[in-house]
Order: sequence, then structure tokens, then C-alpha cells
Amino acid sequence: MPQRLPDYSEKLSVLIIEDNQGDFVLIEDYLLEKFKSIEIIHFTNFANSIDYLQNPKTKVSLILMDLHLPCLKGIELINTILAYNFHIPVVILTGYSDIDLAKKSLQIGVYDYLIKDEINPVILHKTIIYALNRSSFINQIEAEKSNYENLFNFSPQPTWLLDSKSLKIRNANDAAQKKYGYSLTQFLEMSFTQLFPIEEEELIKHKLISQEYELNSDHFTHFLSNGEEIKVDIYFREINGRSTHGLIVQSNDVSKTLQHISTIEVQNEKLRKIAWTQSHMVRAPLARILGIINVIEMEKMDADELLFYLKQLRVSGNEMDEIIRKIVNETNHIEKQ
Amino acid sequence: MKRELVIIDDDPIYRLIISKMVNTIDASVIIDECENCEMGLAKMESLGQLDHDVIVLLDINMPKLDGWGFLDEIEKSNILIQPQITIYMVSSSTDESDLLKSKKYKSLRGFFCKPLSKEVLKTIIGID
Repeated sequence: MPQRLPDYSEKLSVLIIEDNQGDFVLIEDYLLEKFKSIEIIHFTNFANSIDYLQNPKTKVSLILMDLHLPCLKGIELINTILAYNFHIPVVILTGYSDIDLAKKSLQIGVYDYLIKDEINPVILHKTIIYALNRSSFINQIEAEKSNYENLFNFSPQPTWLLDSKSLKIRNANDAAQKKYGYSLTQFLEMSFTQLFPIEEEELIKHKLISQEYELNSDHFTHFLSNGEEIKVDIYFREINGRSTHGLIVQSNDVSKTLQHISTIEVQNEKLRKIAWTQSHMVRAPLARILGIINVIEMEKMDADELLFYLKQLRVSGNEMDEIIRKIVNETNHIEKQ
Repeated sequence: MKRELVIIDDDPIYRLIISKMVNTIDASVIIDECENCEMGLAKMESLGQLDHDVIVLLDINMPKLDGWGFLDEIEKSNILIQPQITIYMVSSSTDESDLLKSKKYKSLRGFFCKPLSKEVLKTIIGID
């Protein structure tokens, strides 16, 4: 869906820098004809204009500037006003004689030029609207650029920008600097692969350069500046600017997770052992008790014999009691860990 | 027909119970009690040329050489060439891993959990 453009019929404020009173009156007439509610600010020289722009009563939407002012003219004039970086579109007013200069000014950063002899209300209107729209787009892009920069810098995940061929670090965010203990200056002198141990260097180099995005079947190792070793998962994507080919790379420290997993595995092993003990140790006296009952039921026996088996039942009962206490203790021990 | 029962188990009460019960079922069965696997192996080696059936009840959990160790040893020897010998594993364990492991031993005829009932013993010594 095309974006709705702002409505300029209201609250438009144009600053005109023009020393020729006749030219000014003409342009003022045209503006008033085309724009219902417009504020026109007029200065005849450069210095006063700058004073006003530095401390404007109302926000200036656009500057219309004659290319010949008493003190400054031509390229020098353009460069001077652009150097102030007011973020206001500048449209040049000029004559046929300066057409080459006007064209050149477009490359420096001027939005448009108007040939004085050709100006009419329609052309003036159209030029202003185009310039304002373009300025609005540029501001939007600038804002997004700064949003992306913030996303990069303030991400809690260590993030780097690499050259996609050399894998040299071009930028490293705050989280990367803090986590790894290298300053940005130090990072900028490093290749990303330097963070890895020698035996992993070739692998990560290959994965990054050939852009194999699925690469965390095994974890990678990273060294921090203090020599500490961490286990990481690496995520990256290609990122393309107008003239640069880069990779944006993030690392995720999984050392703690791996530690937790190994702790759980140790505990599972202990639980398996408990289950095994349960099956062997607990069932041993139990099976004996049941076996004794089988014999008592099957055999005819005298009082002495019965007494003997009764005693065995007690021995097995005590044995079982002791084993169960031991298992409870071991389980508690695991829970405390 | 003459039958011999070899009980390999470190629990004297268990051995006593089995002896008693088997004696009640069939008093003609010869009973050998072995309190460890070393004794059990010695017994097996001493059998010589057999003219009767030999049934072995083997416990798993024993100090030093356990039931599995006994099976490893006996499968290496040529004692089992004689078809009169049958070995049953008998354990207080109900752990499935033991049952699964027992299936890997060709020399085993079966696996029973303790305690052995009268009916099971009858089947084992072949009265039924």
C-alpha cells in the first residue's frame, strides 16, 4: 500500500533568501496563490537567514535560496548552508546563466533548482511538494537507520558485523564488548575466527564464507579476552548494503545450559542406579520372605522348624527396612543437590 | 529318571527353601548347593560324561563373579556340549534390563523372578 503523503495545504513555512525585491514579490504571490495557509519568512542576506534558522520562531519546512547573495554566491554559498545541517530541504533559485552550477548543486545535496524566468505557480508548487516528500522519505530512512543501529548496539546478545569475505570484524556491539572483554578498537583489528580455538577455525571459516546457516549441531568454543573458554551457538545472516557485503553474527553462550544438562544426566544416572538397587536389593529380602512363606505353606513342619523360619522372616524384614532407609537417604541427597 | 539340580546362589536361606521344596516335589532329585559362581563352575566341570539331566538355577547378583560372569565363562568352555544341561536364570530383580540381557545368552533356557513357586519348580525339574 502506498504511503499517504502529508497534506501541505496547512502549516507550511517557507524561508526565502532573496536580495532582489522584485523576484521575491513574484515568488510570494505564486506561493500565496497555491498554498492556502503558508507562512513566508523573507531575508535578503545570508547572515540574517542563518541567525533565524538557528533559532526559528516556527519550524521552517523548506528554504528557497537565490544563488547570488551579496556576500556569498554559487557553490560556496551552497556548501556553507548545507554545512549547517539543518535537515531542511534547500531549493535553489537561479538564472539561465548559472544552469551548469545549478545542476552541479544537485550532486552536493540541494533538492532542486528553479530557473527564475520559467517559474510559474504550477512549477513552484510541484517543486515544493516534491522536495517536501523526498525530504520526508529521507528523514524516515534516517530514522530507520538509527533504529537498526540501536537494535544492533543495544541487543543483549553479543553481535558482530563482519566482512563476508575476509571475516574481519567491522563492528561489535556493546554486549559483545562487555561479554568478551575486548574494546571496539581491539575488535576492529581482529578477524572473527580468532575467537575460536585453532581446531575450530577452519570449520567456522568454511561455514561463514559458504553461508551454511545450520551450523550448531556441535557447539563452538569461544575464548574471552581473559582466556576463559565458553561454549557458544553461532547464528548469522548475510547483510547487504549498497557497497558492502557483510555478515551479521550473534553468539549465544550455552555453557551454563550444557552444564545443567550434564548435571541432570548425572542425576539421572543416580536415579537409574536407585531403580536398579530397588529392583535387586529391595526385592532380595522380599523374595526371600515370600519364598519362606511358600515353604511354610507347603511343608508339614514341627515347632522348632517353624521357629527357625520365623526368625528368618524377621532377619529379612530388618534387612529390607535398612535398604529402604538407605534409598530414601540417597534420594534426599539428590534433591538437596 | 535321575535328575540333578545345581543351585548357584549366595543366599543360604534361598538355597534351603529351594532344596526343601524340590525335595517335597520329588525326593529323588539330587541337589547340589553352590554358594558362589566359582563353586558352581567347579561343579559343572566335575560333571564329566552325563547319563542324567542336570538343571542349573543361577542367581544374577553375587559377590565377585556374578551370574552373567558365570554364563560368559561357561559359554567359553565345552561343558555345554552335553544336551542334558539346562540353565535357568533366577533373580530377585524385576528390572527389565536384566530380562533383556538374559535374552542375549544362548545358553539360557529361561528367566524367573524370585520367589519360585511350587508350580514353576515343577516345570523346571520336569515333573509336569
